Amino acid sequence: MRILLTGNPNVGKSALFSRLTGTHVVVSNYSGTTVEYTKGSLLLPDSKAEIFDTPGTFSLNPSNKAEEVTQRMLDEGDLIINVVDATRLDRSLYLTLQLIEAGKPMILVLNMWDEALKENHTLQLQELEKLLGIPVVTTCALTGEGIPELKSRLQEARSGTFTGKPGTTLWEQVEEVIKKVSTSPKKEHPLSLFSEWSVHPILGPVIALFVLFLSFAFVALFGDWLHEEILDEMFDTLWLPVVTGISDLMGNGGILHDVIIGNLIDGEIDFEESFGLLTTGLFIPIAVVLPFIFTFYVALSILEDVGYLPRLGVVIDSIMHQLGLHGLSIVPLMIGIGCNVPGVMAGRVLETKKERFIAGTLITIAVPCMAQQAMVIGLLGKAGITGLFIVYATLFVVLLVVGAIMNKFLSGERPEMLIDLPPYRLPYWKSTIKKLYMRTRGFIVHALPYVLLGVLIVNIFYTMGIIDAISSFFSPVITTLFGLPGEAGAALIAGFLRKDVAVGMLAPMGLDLSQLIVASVVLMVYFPCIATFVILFKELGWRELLLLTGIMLLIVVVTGTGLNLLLNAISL
Amino acid sequence: MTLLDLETKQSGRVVSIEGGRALSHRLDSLGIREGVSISKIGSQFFRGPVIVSVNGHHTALGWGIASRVNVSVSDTNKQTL
Repeated sequence: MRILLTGNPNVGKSALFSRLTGTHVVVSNYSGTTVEYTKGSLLLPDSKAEIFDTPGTFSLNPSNKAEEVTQRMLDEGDLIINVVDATRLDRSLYLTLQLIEAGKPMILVLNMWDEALKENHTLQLQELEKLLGIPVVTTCALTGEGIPELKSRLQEARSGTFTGKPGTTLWEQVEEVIKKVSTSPKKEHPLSLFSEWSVHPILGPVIALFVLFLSFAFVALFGDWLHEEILDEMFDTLWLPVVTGISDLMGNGGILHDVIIGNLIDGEIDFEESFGLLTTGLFIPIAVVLPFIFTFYVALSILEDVGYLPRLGVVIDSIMHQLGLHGLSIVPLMIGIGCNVPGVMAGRVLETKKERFIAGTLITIAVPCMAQQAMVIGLLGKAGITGLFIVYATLFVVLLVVGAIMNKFLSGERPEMLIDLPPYRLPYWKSTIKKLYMRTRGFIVHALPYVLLGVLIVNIFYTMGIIDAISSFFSPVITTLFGLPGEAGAALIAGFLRKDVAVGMLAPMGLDLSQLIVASVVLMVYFPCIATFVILFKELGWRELLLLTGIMLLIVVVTGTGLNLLLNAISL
Repeated sequence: MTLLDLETKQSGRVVSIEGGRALSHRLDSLGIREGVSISKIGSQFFRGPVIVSVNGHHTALGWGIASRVNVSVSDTNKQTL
């Protein structure tokens, strides 16, 4: 049996899904589309059913991709669980009546029932059941109340019998139902004042900056703690003996040893400086970068589940418009700050091809991933805050300028935001964790293998002298345009595949501050890694990828040269 | 007048929606439809979105969409302007 969970966005559908299914959940693309859905299984007393979490939608008139998918999935389902927010029944019933009209067996779930009671909503459940002709169950996905009842009543699901008066619109029918079954208090949601503040023209941006500052402070502190206290320790106690053993087996030297283990520092393996595949190659992405990606996604997923992200989208909409996007496109861009790979993947939610291309390009060029940031902080951190500030400011300018230019020259319609602002809510931790898991998995499954492959390639190239050959070919560009020493070319080229090597090579060159800044910006602007390259190819196609690469190379040369000239002019 | 011309905290009634069926459908599913009472919660600078409340539910409309929703305010409201 195929059960479909449908409902408006933000009614706790995913939380309910987490309650109903076990831990094994699969996320897939709906065939022929980029819209994702989640699938799990549900154990019933006498059978096993597949349960699908469909994209949140307000209606069945397909006006965007997510709604088209919901519509198509409905055709294939056997039973529909329609989840509605009990505190906002009037808003949800529009979809419910459309579903009833579609005629599939269904059951209505009034979620957030505890809040509805708290807010003094009164609903005559039996009357509602009778009127609609389908079973009605109340739940609280946050605490799990009502879930057993929902499971036990699934078999009662049947096609609804409600038919509105002829000649009335759907909304008039919704009003008719509401009038008969409910009296809602005309009371504002307790957090509605804060909700208004967060989209206020002046307070809104202030709150946004404050929230973002808090999030990044959390990432810096907690990420660093995870790195220093947990993963660093784990590598030293668990992994060091293993690689030391391998190194001894290989006789502590030789070409293969250089590739796999790297150079021994004072006769021992140093996870930060040996540069082998199994030493630094594994250590940097897992022990240094992953903790920051993870903590960043903790912060982002909480902001999302609390309901803050749509408000951030409102505040930032007019800026995003200049870049050919709208406010909600901030979400893929922010995911890209963790790791560009899940960021580009999240760009799928954007409606038009133009938007997806712009978002993918901006994420690649101007949104630094945690690996790039760790690298640049490693390079510039010692020289004080000025250098870092210039690097980030440059990236921000690049983001605005490149976005504005693409918006002007790419054809396509201008996207506009139209979004329901849900009340602020306490997130259900399990579904937040599930989201966190999916995003972190984006890095581990889709990025890490390529990162390791990159490490392997660089190490092999390096021992064969290929990197030096490429770098001497490009060194005129690097010395004349970027004002960097010729050897830096090798570091910049290796940086495409290995950030740690780039830092390791640049650090001892004795670059001055302005050279370090130029090198950092160049390293941040071009492809973060080979994994991003692969995912862009998958998401956008090869023609778009070529165009994007062209834009990127142009921006690298222009920004690197411009910054070099500018910094020399002000003689920093 | 359109939603853009409505003052913050002012209420009005939706008279018509300009634009294709797709837009009308999207707005309709969010409860923004002809004849409904609507009040403006706020707006943003630089042609940012307009936030409205219909039946106590808040919706953010991009500037361009807001400019296509025509509203009227009742006479008593006009006098207070």
